[in-house]
Amino acid sequence: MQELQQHLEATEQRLDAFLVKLTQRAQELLNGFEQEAVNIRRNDTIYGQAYSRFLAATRGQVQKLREKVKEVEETQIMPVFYRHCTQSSLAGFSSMVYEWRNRCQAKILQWEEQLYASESAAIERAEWQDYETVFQSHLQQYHAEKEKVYCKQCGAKLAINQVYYYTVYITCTFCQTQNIFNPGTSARQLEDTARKLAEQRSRPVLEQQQFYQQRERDLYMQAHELQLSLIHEKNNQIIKEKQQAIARLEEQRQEAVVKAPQLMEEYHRSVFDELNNLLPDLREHHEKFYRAITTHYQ
Amino acid sequence: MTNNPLLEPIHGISLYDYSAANARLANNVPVEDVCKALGIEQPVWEEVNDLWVKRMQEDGEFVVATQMGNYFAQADQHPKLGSLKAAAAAADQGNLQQLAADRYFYEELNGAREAAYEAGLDGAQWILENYGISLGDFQQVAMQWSQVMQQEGYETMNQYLQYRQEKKDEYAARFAEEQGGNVADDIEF
Amino acid sequence: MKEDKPMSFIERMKQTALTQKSYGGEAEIHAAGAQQAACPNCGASRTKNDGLTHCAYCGHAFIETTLTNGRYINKEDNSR
Repeated sequence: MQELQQHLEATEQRLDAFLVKLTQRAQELLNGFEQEAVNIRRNDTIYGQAYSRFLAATRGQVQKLREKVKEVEETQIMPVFYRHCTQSSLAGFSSMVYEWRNRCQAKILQWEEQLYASESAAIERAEWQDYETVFQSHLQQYHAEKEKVYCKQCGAKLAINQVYYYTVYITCTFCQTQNIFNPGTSARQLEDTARKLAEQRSRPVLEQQQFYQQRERDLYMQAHELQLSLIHEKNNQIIKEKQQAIARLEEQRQEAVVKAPQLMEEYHRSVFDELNNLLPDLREHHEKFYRAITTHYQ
Repeated sequence: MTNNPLLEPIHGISLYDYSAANARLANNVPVEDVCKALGIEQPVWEEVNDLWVKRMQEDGEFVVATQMGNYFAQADQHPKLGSLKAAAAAADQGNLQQLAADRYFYEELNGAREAAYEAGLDGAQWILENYGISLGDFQQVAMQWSQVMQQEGYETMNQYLQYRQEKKDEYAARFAEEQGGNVADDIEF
Repeated sequence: MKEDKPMSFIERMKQTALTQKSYGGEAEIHAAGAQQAACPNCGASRTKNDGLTHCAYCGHAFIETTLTNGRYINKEDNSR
């Protein structure tokens, strides 16, 4: 038994060291990604084709780290567990192996969650743009460009009085000739940029929603742990106190259960209100899109 | 077939026309050729394109998108667009036929494409360069297989998915070797 | 092996991302501009009153489908 205990401890220490090294490597990878992403994006095509490849490669490498840990779990942790968990003839033997496995899995899970959080945060920072500025610059660019477009038949300046999102026929007001007007890249990006800007402006509502969503999970876990601690509790006073605490947690959790979807609805409404402000000519479409999304959610 | 107004043609372009046109564009057929085959001009195409996309967004039931997928699988039978090919594309007919007939080959190329993207390569371009299959043709075959998969039992599907994963790992190892390894190869347990 | 990482690793990833050909080619930037919409058959220019679908002079069909009510293009744009 002592021999096994030593083996378990040694394996757990190796796991700790392994995860620390992988965390460091992940951090180096993600730092490098963030630095280079700026340079790549600066010179990229409008659809960010090179950056997309770079991002996919980074995600691919992070995935390789996950697979490495998965493999260790499958080859170093679980076989030991299976070999010993059924040898329950010895008192305390089985529970020691179970607890060891649970601790190792919890460490792996925590490592994965942290990795996911750093990965998402790095990508978010790398991709962050002030869409207020981007949107305004697309709009100004379009308005400047359309002032220099002339009728192909008579050479008069074409009267282009609105934003066109794609190629259209425009009639020359002088000679009535149909011209085919291509509004250019800036105009074509307006809808997409407006959506990103609307989401950016509505971000505080989304963060609130995420807060309540997380809170619901946290409160559930807290109550769950209290519930578990009751199993071996004999003291009636403590049992009573804990049950009251569980009831309070449940009450708070119910509040979060109600609040999270309300905030999600508020977030969607906010995004579409912003879109209506930014591109008022597309209001009818925005409203239909909004209805489709909310129906889908319900 | 249905009274759903979301499925009505736009400027005479039906959802089948639109789906087949997209299959051709994904094969690098120039938009001018697609317009010519459909008998429309570019401003009409661009409005049709914009409005079909908007209809899909406005469709909370995903009827339009689902139907578009079905039509995509039938792009080759489209009366006006079926035979339309990109000028430069010498599609490898042998590989394309095998992709449509041999499920293992289809799963292998899916695995390879996923591995290529994760290695930072353009997966669609990689398939084109190595197997002569363009993205539009690949997606069309994918839609055909997805109809087969809907009839398939869990066991069978799982078996193919496992095969795809094995192939993906093989290609991933190959790409990693070409690129000098993965980021944490030197870290051992 | 060790001296290879991590910056040169990132550098390699970056080079892979930058040097590859994109499927369908690189996206290009275009300024706003106009094109002539003259009849390819007889060379006549087209006016709003003639509608969009057929040439008022030679009858050539620019558009073979029937236009419906869209956003910028409507039923009224079918040539009579």
